Order: sequence, then C-alpha cells, then structure tokens
Amino acid sequence: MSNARTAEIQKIAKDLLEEGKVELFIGFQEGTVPLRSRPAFVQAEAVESLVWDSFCANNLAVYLPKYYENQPGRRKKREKPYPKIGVAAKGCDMRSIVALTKERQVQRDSLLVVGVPCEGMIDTRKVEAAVAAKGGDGGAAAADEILEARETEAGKLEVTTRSFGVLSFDREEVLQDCCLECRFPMPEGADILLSGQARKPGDGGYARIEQFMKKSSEERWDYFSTELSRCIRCNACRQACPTCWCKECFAEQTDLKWIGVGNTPSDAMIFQIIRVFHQAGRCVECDACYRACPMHIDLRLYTKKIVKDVEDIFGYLPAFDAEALPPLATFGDEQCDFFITDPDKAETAEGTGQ
Amino acid sequence: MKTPVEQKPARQQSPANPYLPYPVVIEDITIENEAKDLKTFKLAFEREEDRKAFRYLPGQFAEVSVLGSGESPFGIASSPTEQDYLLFTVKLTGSVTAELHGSEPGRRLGVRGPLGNSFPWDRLRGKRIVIVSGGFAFTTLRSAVTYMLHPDNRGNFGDIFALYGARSPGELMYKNELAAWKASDSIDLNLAVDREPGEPWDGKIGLVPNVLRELAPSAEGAIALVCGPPIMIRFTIPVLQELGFAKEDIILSLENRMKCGIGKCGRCNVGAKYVCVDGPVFSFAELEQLPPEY
Amino acid sequence: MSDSKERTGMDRGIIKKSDIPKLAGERRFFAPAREGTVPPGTCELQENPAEIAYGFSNVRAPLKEIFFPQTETMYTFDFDEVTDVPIPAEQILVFGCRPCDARALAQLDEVFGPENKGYTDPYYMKRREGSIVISLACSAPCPTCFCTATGGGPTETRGADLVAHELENGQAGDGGSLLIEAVTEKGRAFLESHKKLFGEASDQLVEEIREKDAAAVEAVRRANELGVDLGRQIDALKERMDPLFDDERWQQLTAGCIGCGACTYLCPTCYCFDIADESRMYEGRRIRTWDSCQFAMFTKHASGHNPRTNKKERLRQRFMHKFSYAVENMNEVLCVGCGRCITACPVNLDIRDVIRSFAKEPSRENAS
Repeated sequence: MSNARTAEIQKIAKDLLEEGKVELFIGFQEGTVPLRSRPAFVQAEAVESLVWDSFCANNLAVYLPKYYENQPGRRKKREKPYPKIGVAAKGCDMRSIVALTKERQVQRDSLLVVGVPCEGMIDTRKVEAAVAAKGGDGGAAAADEILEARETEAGKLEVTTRSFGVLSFDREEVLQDCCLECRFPMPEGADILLSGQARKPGDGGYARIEQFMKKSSEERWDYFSTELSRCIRCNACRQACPTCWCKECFAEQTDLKWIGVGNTPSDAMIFQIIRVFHQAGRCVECDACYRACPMHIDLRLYTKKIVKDVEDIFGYLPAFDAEALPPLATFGDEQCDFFITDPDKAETAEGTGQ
Repeated sequence: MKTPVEQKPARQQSPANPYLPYPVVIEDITIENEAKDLKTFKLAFEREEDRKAFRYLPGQFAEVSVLGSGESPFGIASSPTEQDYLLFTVKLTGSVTAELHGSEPGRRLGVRGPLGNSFPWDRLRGKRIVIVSGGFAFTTLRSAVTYMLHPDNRGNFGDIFALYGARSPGELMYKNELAAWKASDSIDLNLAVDREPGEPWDGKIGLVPNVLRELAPSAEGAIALVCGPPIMIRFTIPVLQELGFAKEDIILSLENRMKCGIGKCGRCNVGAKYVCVDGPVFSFAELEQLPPEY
Repeated sequence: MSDSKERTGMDRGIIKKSDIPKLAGERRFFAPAREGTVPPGTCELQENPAEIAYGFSNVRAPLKEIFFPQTETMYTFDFDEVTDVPIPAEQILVFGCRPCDARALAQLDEVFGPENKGYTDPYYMKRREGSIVISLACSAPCPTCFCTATGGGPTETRGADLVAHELENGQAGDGGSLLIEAVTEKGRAFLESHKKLFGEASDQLVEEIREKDAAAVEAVRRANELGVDLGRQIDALKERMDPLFDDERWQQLTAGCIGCGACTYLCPTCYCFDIADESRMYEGRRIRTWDSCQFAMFTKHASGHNPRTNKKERLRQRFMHKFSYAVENMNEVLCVGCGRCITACPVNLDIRDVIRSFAKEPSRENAS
C-alpha cells in the first residue's frame, strides 16, 4: 500500500507544482535513521523524493503559520498575496489546520490540502522497546540494534537487527497509541483525497484517564512529578505542537516573569501545566509533543486529560468544522457570568454551570 | 588580511571569579533628556582595591548588576581620568533598566568589568580624530572626548572634530559637557538636530550623515570614531568613504545581546568574533569580513 | 607498553567489574545505569547506581551535565548583598562514558578555561580539577555515530584520565573484567592508589586489545563515511563553509527545523548559557542555566532588534560555530560525532547531511 501511496502523492504534488497551483509542497521524504520519514519541502524538481508510509508521524501543520505571518518588524499588512502552499495531511494534521484557520494563523483558501486517509503510524518507541526486550534483563542498546525497518505488502513491519536477525511485527502491535485511539483518521475537508481507506476510528482512549483518576491524589502527583523530573526545558514539545504558535511564549516573558529559565522542578512542572492548559480546546492529540520529547515524558496522559475535560464540560472537540469556535474563545449568553455580576456568590451547582 | 584593531589595556590575570560583581553605590543620578528615559548613574566603588583594579580605557563596557533583577551591559561613559567614580548612561528599555531607573542615590549595585576592547588608542595617537555620533550611543564617546581633552593626553592627538546629533535639542545628553566643549578651543564640536526644533537653536539641522557631508571634515591623517544606531551608521559610512577615509580608519562600536561579557556564554558572536571580548570596537574593514548578523 | 620505572604510578591493570564501585571512595560516583524511569533500551550516567549497565552504545546525556549542570547557583544574595558563592569543591569519579564524550569534555575544558579569551570559569574548572574520568572504549559503531570523521575514534584517549576495555571470557580468566589503562598522570596516580584492586595485565593481552581497537576504528570509519576527515585537516569544513555563508543550500538543509533546543541540550559540546536572577522578596540567587542558539529570543536585543530572525539563520549559526568559528578561536571542531542530535531531532534533521553537503565542495586551495 505504501508504494502505491508514494506514487500517488508524487504524482499529485508534481501536477500541482507544474500547474502552478502551489509554489511549494510539504510532505515527507525518507529519513536518515530507521523507522523515520521526515518532513520534506519540495518543488517540482524534487517530487521524486516524496514518500508516504507508516513512518510519517510528524504533524506538518506546524510549519504552516510561518508562511502566513507578516515579516518581523514590519507593521504594514502583507502586501503580496499569500503564498500557495500544498501540504499532505492525515486526520490529525487536518484538524490542526482547521484549528489554525479558526485562530487566523493560516489562510485556508491559499492552502491546498492533500488528505491521506490514515492507516495509523508506527511508534518507534514501541519497536525499540520490543527489540530491547529481546536482549533480556533491561535490554540491549535498542537504538543501534535496529539496522533497517521496512513495511511489507502483507501489513507487517520487518525490522533487521544486529543481534537478533529479522524481527517481524504486525502493524497493529506497534502502532502509536494515539493512532489506535484516534477518532478521526479521515481528513475531512481536504481539497484532494488520496485513494484508499482510513483505519477504523478508535474510541478516544479515555479509559486510561478514568483509570488514572481513580488513583489517590498523592499517587497522581507522584507520577506527574516523577515524569516531569526528567524535563530539560528543551521546548521540543512546544515547538513541535502546531497550535503553540505564540511569537513570545509565556515562558519567555521577562516582564512579568512567570517561570524561571532552568530545569528546577517547579519551573518544569509549571511550564507543562500551563502549556497543556493553553491547549485546552485546541489540542488534537497528534502526539507530536510526546514524540518530540527527548526524555520520553508521558505528556500524552495530560494532553488527553485536557481534551477529555473540554469534551466533558463543553461538549466540544476540535475537529473539521471551522465555524465551531473553541469554548475558551467564545462567551455566549448561555454561559455563566456570576463571577462578573455577583462575585461573592458561593460556588453552587448553578454557579458553576456552563 | 586581518587588521588588528588595537591592544587591550593591560589587564592583570582574570579575576578569580569573573562572574562576581564589584559592589558599588549610586552617588548621583542625572536625567539626561527631555523624555526622561535616559539617566546617568554616578557609581562609586565600595572598596578601594576594586576601584584600583578597575583600570579601563574609553570604549570599554561593563555589566551593571542589580541583584534580584539581573545584569545589563553599558558602555562606560566616564573617562579613566575621572578617577573617583564611574558613569553609565542607561536607557529605560526592560526590567533591569526599569529597576535602575526607579533607584535612588545610596542604592548598592554591582559592576563587572572592565569588559571588551577599547577604542584603538595605540593607533589614535598622533592622529586627527573625527567623531560622528547620534542618539544615545554617544556614551563611550563622552569617555573618549573627556579622556582626549585631559591636559595629560591632549598633546597626543591632533585636531578633534565631533558631530553629535539627536532628534531634538532636549534629547542631547551631557549638556554640561557639551557646553564646555562648545566653548573650548581644543575640540571643534558640532551639534545637530533632525529637524527644525521650534525653539532657539544655533546648531545644525538635519540627519547626521547629511550634516557630516556638509561639514566635510578632512580625512588627512585622521581616524573616525562612529557610534550610533544601525541606520545612522549605515548612511554615515559611505559619507566617510567619500571624504577619503579608508575602511581600516573607520572605527565602530557594535551592540549585541550579552550576558556573561567574558566570551563564555556563546551569545554575542558575530561570525567567529565575540562582541564582548573581540569587540565591541571593530573597524569597518574587520566588520566587512564578518557575516551580517548584528 | 611496559611499565617504566621513571614514571610514578601504575600504567594499567585488570579489575573485576564488580569492584568498580570500590574505586569511588569518597568521590561522587557516576556510572551508566538503567535505574528509575529510563526508557527501554537506553541507559544514563546515574549517581551511585546499584548496578552498572554494560552493553549499550552510549548514555543518554553527555558529561556536561555533571560538570556544567543545567541549572547552577553562581551566588546567592540577600537584598543587595552577595551572601554565598558556592564554588564546588567536590571530588568526582566518572566511569563508563564513551571516548567521544571524554573528548567532548576536553573541548569544554578549552571553552571554560583561560585559553578561550583569557577568562576562567571557576564553577566548571573546580569540578574538573577534582575529577577522574574513566572512559569505556567502543568495539563497534552504532548507526548514528561518526566520531572518526570529526577527528576522534572509538578508542581514543583524549579527555579521559583512564580508558577501560571490556574483556571477553577467556581473556584474563573469568570474563566479567576490564582492562584499565592510564592516560594521564592523574590516572596513573589513581591506579597506584587503588592497586590492591588490580591484577596484572600481560603484554600479550594488551596487544590483543590493540588489535581489537584497530578493527573498531576501521569499522566506524567504514560505517559512516562523510567525505571529510577533520582529524587530518581540522579546517576542512571551515574553508568550504565560510565562503558559502549565504548559499541557498542552507534553506533546504534547515527547512524542517522546528526550532526546539533538543539538539543543543543533548550535545556534548554545546555550552551556551544564560544568566538570570531568581528572587523572592529580597532573597535570591543568580543562576546560570543552559540556553540554546536555536531559541528565538537567544539574540534578541532589548530594543527588539534580532540579528537572527529565522530558523535558517539560527541553525546555520549552530553549524558554523561548531565547524568554523570554534576552529578559528580554539583550534577545535566542536563536534565529536556522537550522533545524539540525530536521534533527538523530532524532524530527523541530520548533521551528517550538512557535513556531506559541504564536504563535497572543492577545497578552496584546490579550486581552479
């Protein structure tokens, strides 16, 4: 399937570029390490480098706001017309594009989205863990055990290892959790759709949250602080996230200075707490942050929690409808406003209504 | 072909902890301009041995430390001939400068330095000096002029021509010094404001590069010291070249974001040069060889 | 390589793996381990681990974390007075870092020492003075390492006080042992002071080890051919990169970068830092923290002007610093080929692509 998709995406991109419908096409090319394909920015002469396979996990929407911003230091509105950009999008990428459209960070009508019905992407960490487990007692050096990885027509992943020969996995065994749980694998609203089926939608994965919430608050705090103790404030999570587009992040402000710049535990924890809260109503659970984190912090637990909370409280999930504004960006008549009109009102059931 | 700019003033070995500031006290604060966002701080060392150790030449800078807020680099506005104090002129721009601007005499601060290279005094000896400056970049030039005009030093230099421009008369700094220099025979001081000031004004009117072209100081045996905002520098250099100045004889002072001031933190480099140790003073010839990342 | 009677201390010895922690004595002891929340298949340098890990390619984080901690108090203050200047006086023993990381440490010695612009960083240097580093030689390359291209190698000794080789079963009897050889005077003295733990190593054994070393070097060289040997000509990349500063290839090479700092934070030779004050009411501390040239604010002036406004410029700065500016200022290539930036990069930007791209340019001297 991936060979067919590679050929299809190359053809589509080539036609779009040659017909002048786009100036640039953003897709994927082969990576330099096994189990990775990496973002590619091609013009007509380089379309042959495009691929599509189960290693195309990055969320390409993260690159888009840059093409639509005014130049730094220039206050006048953009004088040139917006550039026409083509971009390949899975379900999660498309949802991010819609979120960015709502927030006026991309011009949807100068973007040409080539939607890919998504079959799910492979989790490199799951593969590495499986290879490591072969070595027994805590594992071999997984990263250099893996020499090569390829997908077969039969839907398997074959991994050539240094010490254990060729290992074969079913795709489903090693798919990313966010893909197994994904409710929107089909990129609705794409301008062009690749052929083929998307995987069956998953259930959203809230069961894990419900389980976790049953633990005591000490246990939950212990888990959070242990996970975040590894944070090195590299900002990979923030930079990989398509909806973290602020020119000056709260963490960088010096006036006021909200948090320190080092990796002191409280700074690291507050950074993540605020970042996740800033994503409320905007996060599409593409897991770009989780994948980007070099310390393998369990960020996806917390992004999923905020997504669930927003869905539970506001009945809202960022999907494909560009007209449905995020709840934290709207304030309608039906929403409570006692904190303005009657701030001394005790928090009763009415007082905390939606 | 690298042109050495000058020698650094002889510094004893690196202080044991170059991150630790010398304690100083604010003796006096002067508001320099009408907009009141430029203040000159007169600082006195608390310890005599620190004052003695702080031997500097005009052109150098120091990191002024406000414990609790941070540090900021400022050109040293005083001349080493003014032995009992240091002067720094500070523009209100961010959190550290806000803290400084809100201070009163008597407050203790810290000073780390002297840092950077100075104007190329070895090369300037025996030369005629042409100074061109605009805005609040004039600070280290106040140091340079005071130093040169000092009776001990004046004989080492030829004629001194200076052009200093600002947006309006109220924005010119060091008004007392300017008045004294205007009256002095030792320096040909010309002041300029950008446009018709709407008040009595006997100086020039026009942007600094244009006024410079009009006044046309001679380049014969002269070296130019230029300090100003990037846009002024960009238009001044061609004028100096028209007047016959060679690239090695146009001396500039760069700004950059700095933290450690001692060439360690890696932040202020322009190409392979660190503005805090290889600069901030560079000749135009040197700068041309560097990538335009400043 | 026989013992010379003129030199003080011991040259080499064989030690049981289980005896390694005994070398620590009073020192803070760091060794590779898999305790705690380390991801499967990886290990990192941990303090006083219960069990030392072997069979890994490299530890997660390089040595700079130990000698140049990510967040470090330079001094504390109370109101406007400095109250304490905690220059560390600790003694440290590091065991099990790879030769690339040890070489990186030697490079950081240059950076923080007086050869670099005349100033000495007391916080880093004090820790270094009190440290002993025992590196563990590599026997095979991993897919992302390219130490030989940068002038290093899997068995090199620069930066280490002692180098260890794992011995196989059959060598020196029981397996589970290491050959440790001293590199520096400090290393020799260290062996001498612990000689009770060491058995003698025969010349024949050492010869076998040297043969293995040669094979390892050859294997790494073959596995990662980048078209340049910075060991032979340290400015080979510099002379090609300098005239191509504005070349349009930089746009393509850096297009995928998202501007995080993962590469710089995991790099053994990246050292840029920030200085900031933290205070509560009037008490506080001035700290030094890691910073990254990849962050947008890194070079932003108070006036708002930023000399490097986009990712291309910032990423170019990183590569120019490593392969050009550091060569000019310190005669060092600030890259040891450990490959961490490659595995850490969320978008698989690969420093080897940059190296290859410039390595294939003709040398300026040879250009017709």
